[in-house]
Amino acid sequence: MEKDLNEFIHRARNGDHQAFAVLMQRHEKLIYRILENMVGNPVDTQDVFQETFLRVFRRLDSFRFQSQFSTWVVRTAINTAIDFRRQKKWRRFFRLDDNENPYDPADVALTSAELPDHQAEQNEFWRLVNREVAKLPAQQNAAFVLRHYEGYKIREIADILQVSDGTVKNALFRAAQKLKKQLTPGFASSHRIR
Amino acid sequence: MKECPKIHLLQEALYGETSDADLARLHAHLEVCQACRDEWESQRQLVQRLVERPERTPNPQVLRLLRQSVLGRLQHRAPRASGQIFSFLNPSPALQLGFVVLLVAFGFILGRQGTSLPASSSGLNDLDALITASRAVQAQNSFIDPYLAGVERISYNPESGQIDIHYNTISDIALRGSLQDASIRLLLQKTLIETQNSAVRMDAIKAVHQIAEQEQSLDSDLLGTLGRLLFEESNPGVRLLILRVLKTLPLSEAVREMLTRIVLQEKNTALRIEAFDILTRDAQNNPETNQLLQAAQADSSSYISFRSKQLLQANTI
Ligand SMILES: [Zn+2]
Repeated sequence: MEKDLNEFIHRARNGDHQAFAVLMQRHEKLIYRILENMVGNPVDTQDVFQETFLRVFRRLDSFRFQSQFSTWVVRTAINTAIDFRRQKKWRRFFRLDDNENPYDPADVALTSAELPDHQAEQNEFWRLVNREVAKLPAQQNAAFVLRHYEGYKIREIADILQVSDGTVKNALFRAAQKLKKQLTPGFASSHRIR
Repeated sequence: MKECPKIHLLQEALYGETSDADLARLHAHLEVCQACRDEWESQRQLVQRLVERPERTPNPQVLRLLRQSVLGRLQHRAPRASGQIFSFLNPSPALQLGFVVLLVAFGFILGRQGTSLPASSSGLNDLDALITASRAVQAQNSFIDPYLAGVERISYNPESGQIDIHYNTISDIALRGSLQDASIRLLLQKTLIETQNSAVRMDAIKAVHQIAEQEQSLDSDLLGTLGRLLFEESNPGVRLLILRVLKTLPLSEAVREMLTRIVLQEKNTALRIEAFDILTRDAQNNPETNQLLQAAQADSSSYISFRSKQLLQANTI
């Protein structure tokens, strides 16, 4: 699989957009999910998603085939999301962007699958989780999403974020500390409901 | 509050690979340290709970649109040597470059010259290529590279029911088809996504409005594009026009959601009022809208807050 991927990478490097479309197709779901949990609302997610793949394409030449291609794409996505979050912070600072809430729970309903009514309360809880996760500092946010939502190993996350294993573990620990503080009431009550 | 110096034991055990010896040390510490015991318990609970999180699956249609849009933007930015555009006229270097000159018909008729293009034997694949990739369309003695040329104007003739998509090529070239034509719809959608020109976006939305009026429905792709534009667009006129399109549609779940978001979050009062009116046209005896009405009572527009109260009262009687 990785091998025939290489074929597409080579072709895309030579400007073959159809080959690049195949590469996109292979990674788009993963990238969208990751970005959704880093960026927050779907409109921004879709912008960052596009920017990610434009960067991937422009930088294909710098991919050295030493790591997995998907690792490289995920890294690009995360860096793009981090850049975006930084810009957004500045924009908000200068009031160019008066959207105070980086993550609107109402947005979730637009993109995620509908849940049956009896799950509404559960749904509410997960919306809260999503919102709080998107509010985490960038590195903690990325580590958290990769570990808990996408099931990456610590070493793989360290590779993607280009930090040490210890830093990843620490980020995960800090993220969990913050989250449980934010979620405590909802966390306790909806835990009991089950 | 100072943190316990042994906190790294927890980090390792929760997120790393711990040896039995490390675990033994951790448990020994947990026996004597309340703070770490609490932290350990709560983090483990959180991690366990996360496993139950319902998966959020990205909408495949959204992904497809995004892919098309990225490919379109690549096309725009692809570096081109000067004069290369004209190499379309010479098929062999064009082929080498990966560009395929093709004849597209799909019921399109060439605009000004009035000559029809020969029907192509290939089906939707070609159209997909026209929409997503870099293929030029041959039209008499001219070519349209959809990405280099771009749409200049879209016009709809209500008498003939035909729509013309004019490209800003040197000679006036238009693709003509009917609104029922799937390929025309795709081109409208593509124009909505790509064009920088808000007047052209308005033209395209007007054409979509025609479709919505004729069919009382829109396929989810087009609706999704309108939805995205409704929130991304900076030109309020374009946004108002999108609301007018939504107005002609039945209040499906998706339409309702877009409108609700406008009513609750939009700063522009005119847009809020428009969305509010559409949403509440069947508000009487419809308990579903009560929640919205509750929230809208606090709206800064006196019209919206007054109407909300009025409708709520009517509903409770
Ligand atoms: Zn301790």
